[in-house]
Parts: sequence; structure tokens; C-alpha cells
Amino acid sequence: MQQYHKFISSIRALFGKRKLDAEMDEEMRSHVEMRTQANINAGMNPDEARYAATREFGWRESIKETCREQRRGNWIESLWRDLHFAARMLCKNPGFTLISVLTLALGLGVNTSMFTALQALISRPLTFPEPGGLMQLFQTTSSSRRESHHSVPNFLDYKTQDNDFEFIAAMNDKSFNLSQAGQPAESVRGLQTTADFFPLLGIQPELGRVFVADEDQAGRNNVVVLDHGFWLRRFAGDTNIIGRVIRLDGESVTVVGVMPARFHDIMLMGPVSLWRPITFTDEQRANRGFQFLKCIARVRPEVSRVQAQARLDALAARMALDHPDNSAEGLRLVPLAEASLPPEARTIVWSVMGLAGFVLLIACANLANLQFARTARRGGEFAIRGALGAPRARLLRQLLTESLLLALLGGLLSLLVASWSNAMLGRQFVSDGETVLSLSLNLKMIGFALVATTLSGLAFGLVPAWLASRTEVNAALKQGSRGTTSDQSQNRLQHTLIIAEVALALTLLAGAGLVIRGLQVFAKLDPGWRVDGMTIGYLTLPESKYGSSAAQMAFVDRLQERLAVLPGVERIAVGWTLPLRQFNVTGSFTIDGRPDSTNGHAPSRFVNGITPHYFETLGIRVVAGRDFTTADNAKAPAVVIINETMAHAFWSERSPIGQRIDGEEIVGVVGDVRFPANPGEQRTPFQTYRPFAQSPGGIFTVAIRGVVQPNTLRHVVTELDPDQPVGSPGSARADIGTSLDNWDVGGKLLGSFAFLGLFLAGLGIYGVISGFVIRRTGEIGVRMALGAQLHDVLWLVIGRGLRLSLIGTAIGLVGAFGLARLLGSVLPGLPGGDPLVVTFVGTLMVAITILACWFPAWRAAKVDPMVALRNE
Amino acid sequence: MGGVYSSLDIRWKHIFMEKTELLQGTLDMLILGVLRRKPLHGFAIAERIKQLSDDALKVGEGSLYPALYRLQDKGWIESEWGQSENNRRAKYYKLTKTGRRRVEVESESWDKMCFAIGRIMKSA
Repeated sequence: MQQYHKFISSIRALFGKRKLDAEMDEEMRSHVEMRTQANINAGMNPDEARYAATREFGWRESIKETCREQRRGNWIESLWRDLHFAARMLCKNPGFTLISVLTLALGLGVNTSMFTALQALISRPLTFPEPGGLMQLFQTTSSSRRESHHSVPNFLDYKTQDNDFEFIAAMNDKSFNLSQAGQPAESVRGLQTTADFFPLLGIQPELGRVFVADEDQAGRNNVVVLDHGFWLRRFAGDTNIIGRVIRLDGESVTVVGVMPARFHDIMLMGPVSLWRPITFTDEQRANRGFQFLKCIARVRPEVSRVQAQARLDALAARMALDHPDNSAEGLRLVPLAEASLPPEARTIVWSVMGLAGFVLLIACANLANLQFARTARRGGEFAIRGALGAPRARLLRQLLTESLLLALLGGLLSLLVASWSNAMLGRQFVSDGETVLSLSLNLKMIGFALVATTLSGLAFGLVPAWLASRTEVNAALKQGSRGTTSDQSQNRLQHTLIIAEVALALTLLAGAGLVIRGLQVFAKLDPGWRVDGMTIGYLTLPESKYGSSAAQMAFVDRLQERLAVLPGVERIAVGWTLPLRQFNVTGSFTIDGRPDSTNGHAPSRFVNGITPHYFETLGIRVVAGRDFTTADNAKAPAVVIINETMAHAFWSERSPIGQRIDGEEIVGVVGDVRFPANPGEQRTPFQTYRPFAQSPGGIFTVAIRGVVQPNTLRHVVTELDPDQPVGSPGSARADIGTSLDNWDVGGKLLGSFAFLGLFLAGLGIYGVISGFVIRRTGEIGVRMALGAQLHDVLWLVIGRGLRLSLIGTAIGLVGAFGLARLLGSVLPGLPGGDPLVVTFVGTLMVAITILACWFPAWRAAKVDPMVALRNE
Repeated sequence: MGGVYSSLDIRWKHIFMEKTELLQGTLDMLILGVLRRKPLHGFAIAERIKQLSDDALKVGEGSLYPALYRLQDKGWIESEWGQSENNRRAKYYKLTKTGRRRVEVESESWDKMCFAIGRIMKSA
């Protein structure tokens, strides 16, 4: 009954506010009348009696307000009133509102978008059922943060020894050569997986079946499961596909199933088209050094991650004891949702997120300043409200409501900015021609925007509100309607905010400048070989057809012969790799006869297997000795060619020709090469080459100097073997461009943050200087009346802005230095510390400052002394 | 004589205006106390407190009405419009069931406290 009563009363309070007010009014009026009557009865005359009664009762509105505040449900009512009032104030000042909302929308939008990217990259939602139990396994070493994959015997140990996994599966990226009658051979990306892979992830096939238990045994693996997108593209979504035989790597393989589109988790699997069971050779089963398997597991539902990790630690310790040849020291379980990025990439992503935070900070500082200026102008209003009995908390709440309302509007608009920016970002991250990052609006993103909105609303609203509520009523009323809270402390605060804004913007700008300029310089660095005028193509000969060295060598020889006679071809060579990203093979080495030369720690070197004329074709200088010839074949003594850096490091001024490393005789020294497609760190400065004939391989790159259509290469290969495709044939320059494009995305991203920051900082300076001019109109009038010239006034205003901006710039340069060091540690390959960038950035900041001050300065100079003085 | 009362009165008024939990509670208790006998309107409540305390306690309107709204909100009193002695429309407040129970509890604990404080003061 009582609950009901309360409920009714709070509902009435909300909706029957007017009626309640009227009742309150009547009740109090009747009180005063009764008192008047009592006074009359006590002998006063009626006028006196009424006056005394009214006086005694006190300020009726104030009492009514206190009464209202006694009721629960009252906060909704007063919030509504505050919101209503706030909305009215914002409408009254559309310029302020527009600038604030836009500033916030940009600042919040960028951050929300970055948050979505962060979430997609670091902790993304999985489409698999019960994703909480899905983990990826990594091998770790104590010395490095790098996480590595697994060897076959290690994987088999995890699987057979006792563990907490419901399933554990291994997978390996592989390119398959797909050929079909009547269609050109095509290289398709696929995954080799163990049979447990599908039940582990828990998604049923769309058509047919997945692998059965023993299909990952040798000889039984001639089955394949297709990806939905690949099935649509290559087989036009044919529902009779099950049972069809296709040619993969020259083998006949039966299609047994098609997986639905949602199974294809691109961050986990990469851009795959099909899945095939993996089989392990006896050699792979014995070799613990060959770590190529990715390993995923589903932890039993009743076991926690911590427990599973503990048992895995024990297993790792046992394995380290049993197999000293294991390079890994530990095993780490990482939730699948977080596992798609290696630790160093995670650092980069977090740094970018942090830099986006800079933009939001600048936006907030800007808004705080705008609020300052506005509350200063409204000082009179607050003073009057204070004098009428509004408690300070009430004024504070009112101002905060206004800030939060602004933030909310900005937040809503920021979602638009964020979706737009997400769409842009998503298109930028491309791997093998496919978009890998799909960034869409989701609940978490909206949640983030909401939290960021509220926090920034508080951040930019609290201090000005507090200052305004501190207004001395008397002083404010005496000073008139303008410029009341613009005392020293507030000026100092405003200036500090501007300096901070400039410093943050400059740091961002310098960081972006260093990255963009670094990439430019990097692209122009002499790589030590001639990139232009070269056509390249990647080939992978399948083991099943070209298992032996002789078969591989024969194919390479025939290919070179055919290509060499084509018109337009000047030179042709084949190598394991080209110096684009890095050489694929590294190994440790010792110098024969000089065991002490390396201080007991075997240094590592790049190894590249090349055919004769490789140096000529690429344009690499031969410094000393000779190139390989056809005589350096499998039967001839093992020979090696080293680069200049290595020659200097180990033989300094003496000639290394005739010396031996790992038993191979050094026959030549060539110039160093750089890897123009990779600004990241290279593992070693030592580069060595061996004759392809002495160490052939099935995976290699063809390099053609001259004018050749990429299709010609494809054509020649198809003539040699119709099942054999060529991977991304094209110019070396284009290949580098594709790689650097992804790096460019980072530079552009930083650049857009920087310009956003610069724009906001400029806006902030403009706001503060405008406020300064308005407050000093009188003073400027006096100065002009006393003979100040136009340029004196301009300088007075611009000088003020410039002073703040220069302090900010100086601080920002320190920040930029720190950022440059951070970048240097993440991208050591990038040329850094360009004084040109710093000069440019500093100049840009000053130019923006002058531009931002120009308009208020001009307004100040246009002040009519008569008008200004009369206004005082 | 008048001087003494007015200084007391100022002090009380001052204390009631302060939003100290204890004193707010005391004013609430006084209101509940005077409403025990019969429903009264706001003016009568103030008069009654003054009268019963021999003019020692005077409740300012600035405290009285907020207290009345507070007590209503707590559900201890309820109000309805009625005719006053001299035929004026006035809002009458009366105790609810819970209010009545409350006032018994309050009065009992007040007695105990007065007794305890009294003993301490006398012994000192």
C-alpha cells in the first residue's frame, strides 16, 4: 500500500509538476493569510499584518525549490529542467555549439574508429561457437619477445602427452597449384590442417563433410574442403561439386565439402581458398628444429586457461629436458581472439591508439577553453543566479549538464565520423588483394564512444564549471555583465591548455613527418641493385612432381633457356629470393681455421641460392673475385660469394678470396644489397650467395632484365608444364609498391591525426585570442587613441598568440624527440632524425598560429577608439 | 524576557536551517509528535510546536515545509485539502499507519536518550 502510494506520488511529481506547484503555492499563500489574520488578532493594522507575515515567511520560491528537492524522483525532474535549459543555452549560441560539436565529433570519431581497429586486431569477436575455449599455442624463449611456431615432433608430443585440450590441431599455409582442363593454371592459397581442425572450431560444413579421422595419414589425404567464396568464384556455387575431382599440385583430389563463409576467419587463416589434410614425412617427424606448424587448441570447458597453462608449463619443462635440441623454452596459450598479431605489432597498434588519444586530448583542451570563454561571458548570469539563492552545487550541475549535452551531441556525430573512417581504413589494409580487416559499427564501439563521450564531457566541463561556480557574487555584479571570471588564474589555465594543445599537435606532426619523410627517403635509397626495368615471378614446384634436386634443376635450366631467347630479354637469372623484403634463409656460420673470430657466438648470415648472371641481371656490383659459372655445379667443390660488409667485418683490409666459411670456398665479394620493400629490421647485415646448382630448391623467383610482358612469363611456364602457375608476375617496382603501401597506410594515418590535431590547435588559438581581443577592446581603443599604429595593434595580438605557440612548440619538440626514439625502436630500417622535418613542422606550427591570430588581430585593429571608449 | 526568546529563536532557526541529519530528524520528530493527536495544516503545526514548547521552539517556514514534503515522501504523513477553522482552504497533514508506528519508536528512544543524558549531566 505504501509502495503504491510512493509510486503514485513520484509519478505525480514527474507529470503533475505544474499542478503540484500550484498546490504548493496555494498552501503557502494560505499560511501567510493565516499568519496575517493572527497578526490582526494580535492588534496590528491589516497592511502591517500582511507585511510582517510575508516578511516572516521568507522567499517563497526558494522554499518551494527546497520542498521540491525533498522528493525522490526529483532528480529526474531537475535533470529534465537542466537539460531543457542547457538545450536553450546551446541554441542561443549556435556558433559555439557548432564548433564544439564538430571538434568533439572529430576527436571522438577518430578514437572510436581506432578503438574498433584495435579491437579487430587485438581482441576481436570470433564467429566460432563457444569461442572462450579457443587458444593458439606459441613457443617462447626468455631472451626475446618473439613467439614462434612448432615442429612436427613437438606438436605430436602436445597431442599425445596428457593435456587439458578437447582438441588440438596444427595447420600450415601453403600455395597450391590448381589446374583444370580449359582453364589456365592458378596459384591458390590454402591451409594444410590436421583432421581435428574442423571439429575443434565447431562449425558444420555447408555442403558435404569435413575430413575424417585418418585422412591426415599419408596416402589418404587426396581430399579437399573448399571455402565458400572460392566455391562461388571458381565453381560458380555449383551444388553438385561434392565428389568432383580437381588437380592440385598435379595430383587428383576429391572435393568432399564446402565450408560456410563465416568459417573463413581471415585473421586466423589468411586469405585461404581451400583446406587439405596435412601429412608429415618421416624427416619432418624427426626434426625438432623445423618450426612451421601453427597450433590451435580447444581447452576443455571445465578447465580454466590458467590451469591449462600450468599443465602446459609442466609439459614444456619436461620437453626441454628430454630434447635439448629444442630451441624453445616455454609454451604459451593465447586466446584465439588476441592471437592474430605478434607482440611487436601489438606495440605498434597500441602506439597508434595512443596517438589517436592525443587528438582527443587536443579536442578536450579546445572545448575547455571555449567553455572558459563562454562561462566568463556568462559570469553575470551566474552571479545573479547565485544572488537569488542558487546553491553552488546547483550551478555546477547546470554547467556540467551543458557540457555533457554537448558531448552527447558530439558523440552521436562521432559515430558517423567513425563509420566513415572505418570504411576508409578497412579498404586500406590489403593482403594478397583481399581486404583483411572488416570494421563495422558494433555494440562495443558504441559503448566505447559513450564512455569516451562522457569522460571528455566531464574533462572539458568540470574545470570551467568549477571556476564559474566560484564567482564572487559581489565582485561579479559590480564589474558588470562582462569579463567577470577572467582573473589571473583563469588566464593562466587557458594559456596552459593552449600550450599543451600546441605541444601535442606538434608531437603528432613531427611523428607523422618523420614516418612519412622516412618512408620517402627509404624509397629513394640506393638498394645496391637496379629495381627498374625488371620483371619478376614467383614459382613453387610441387614436391609430388619435382621431388628431386635433378628435376628442379632441369626445370630451372629449361626455363632459363626458353626465356633467354625471347625478344626484349637482356639478362635472366633465378634465385631462391630477390632482395625485396629479406632473404628467406638464414643460418649461423663459422670461419674455417678461425674459431675465435666470432667470440664463441656463431653469427648469422643470409643465404641465397642463385644461378650465374644473377648479379649482372640485378645490377649488383662484383667487387672482387668472380661470379658463379655453370661449372660450379653439384659435382664441383662448394663455393660461396659474400658481401662487402661481411668481408670488412672478418677480413678488414685483407682479401677473403680463397678463405673458407663452413667449408665453402669464398670465390667473390659483391656489393651490399638493401631490401627496398621492408623498412623493418633486418636480421643480419651479412649476405652470402651459393650456386643454385649446388643447392637447388622448388621455391624460387625468376628475374628478367629487359622489356617483357608479365603474361609472356606465364605463357613460357605453361608451355613447360601446363599444371604450373606463376605467382604474381609483374615488375619488381610494382611488387615493392604493394609492400610499401601497407607501410604508407601507417604514415597516412599518423598524418591525418597530425593534421586533425593541427586544425584543432589552430582553432583553439583562434578562440583564446578572440577572447583576449574582446576583453581588451577598451584597452586597444585607448592605445589607438594615444597613437598606436595598425601594426602595433596587430603585433600586440599576434605576438600574444605566437608567444604561447612558441612555448608549446618547444615542449612539443621534446615530445617529438621521444616519439622519434620510439619509432626508431619499432622501425629501425627507417631513416630518422631528419632536421628538415623538424624545421618544416615548426614553421608550419608558427604559420598556423599567425593565421589563427590574424582574424582576431584584424578585428582588434579595426576597433574604433571612440566606440571602444564609450563602451567602457 | 522577549530578548531571551528571540535569541533562542534565532539560534534554533539557524540550527534547523543547517542540514544536519540529527537536527533534521529532531524537527521531523516534533512534527510527527504534534500530528499524533489530530490532522493539522502547516500554520497550525508551527503554532502548535511554539505553543507546546512554551515559545521556546519556533519553526521557520523555510524548514517546516521542506520537512513536511520530506515526511510525505517517506510515507509517514499524508495530506488532503480541507476547510480551516475560519473557512479557508488549507492542506491538512495526518499521520499514516507507518508514521504512527514511527512516532512511537521515536518517542521511546527520545525518552531513553533524555534519561541517559540527564543522568550524565546530573552525575557530572
